[in-house]
Amino acid sequence: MSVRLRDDVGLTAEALDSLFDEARAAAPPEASGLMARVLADAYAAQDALPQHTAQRRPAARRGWLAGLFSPANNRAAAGLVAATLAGVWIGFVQPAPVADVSQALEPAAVDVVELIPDLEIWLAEG
Amino acid sequence: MPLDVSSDLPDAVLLARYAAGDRAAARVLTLRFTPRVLGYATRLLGDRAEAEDVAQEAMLRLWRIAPDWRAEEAQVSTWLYRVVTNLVTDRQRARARRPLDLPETAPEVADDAPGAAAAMMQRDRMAALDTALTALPERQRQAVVLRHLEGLANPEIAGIMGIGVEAVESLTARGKRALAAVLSGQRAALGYEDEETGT
Repeated sequence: MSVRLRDDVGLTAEALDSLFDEARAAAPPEASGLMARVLADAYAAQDALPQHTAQRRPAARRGWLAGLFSPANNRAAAGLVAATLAGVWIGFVQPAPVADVSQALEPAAVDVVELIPDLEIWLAEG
Repeated sequence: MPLDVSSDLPDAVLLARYAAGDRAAARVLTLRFTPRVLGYATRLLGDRAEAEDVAQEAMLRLWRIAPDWRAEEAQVSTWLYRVVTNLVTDRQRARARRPLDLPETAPEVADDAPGAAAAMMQRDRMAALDTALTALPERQRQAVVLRHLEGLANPEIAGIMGIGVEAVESLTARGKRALAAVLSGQRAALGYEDEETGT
């Protein structure tokens, strides 16, 4: 191999490029032991991947309302809505059976019990 | 379709198959990238054992990111070069670099066969080159190795190093000049001495 050298700045650009060419053409380092370890890591990481990742992720992004009204929960959601509407209706309309119960629970007269003495006593005492 | 070592499937496709549980894809990716990653790490670190640790860690990160890989954002090779570069930088900042001893002269050649002598000479030249690379500043070494030994284009190197193309060109030019100066004292190790210098 003929390579020119220069004393002032070192190798010429051509010599350096020739060295780079030789390095690129050289066989890659022997790495069978490393590749065995890398492959073992690959299998372990693969086994640790969650199953059915692709199917689970879109569901997680739909939010809680979407989950509530999913096909699997339709019956539960319908019952919840019906109960809510019934409560609102009873509160506003007060049908006769409910009104009777309200009257039965309501006392005829309200006794007033004085749990704290009059404030005037405290004021008078200074 | 079964895969073999010579599979020419794109990297991103192999990675998707790996994430789906394909063992063969793991084997092909390992064989395709591990030697390249190891070679790059070795040239940056100048230490084979440390380079193997870095290469294994980089590949492990590839396996872990496989389910979330976005093929449109990066090439697998570019991503791996970037990971190795960062891992090496972290290591070099965490420890004082151990300088390697340059061979003063070429070792004795026990076998006088021309082929054996040539192989020995080539080994010494590569050792001298690797040692000279370790003498370069960190960023110059990265740029020179990526450009001239890994054969990457400047825009890809810019992406790996997180700098502009002009900065890559500057680092590469300065790195080559520094490398030439370092190697000028290694003529014996390079096996080029006295061929023709006019000196």
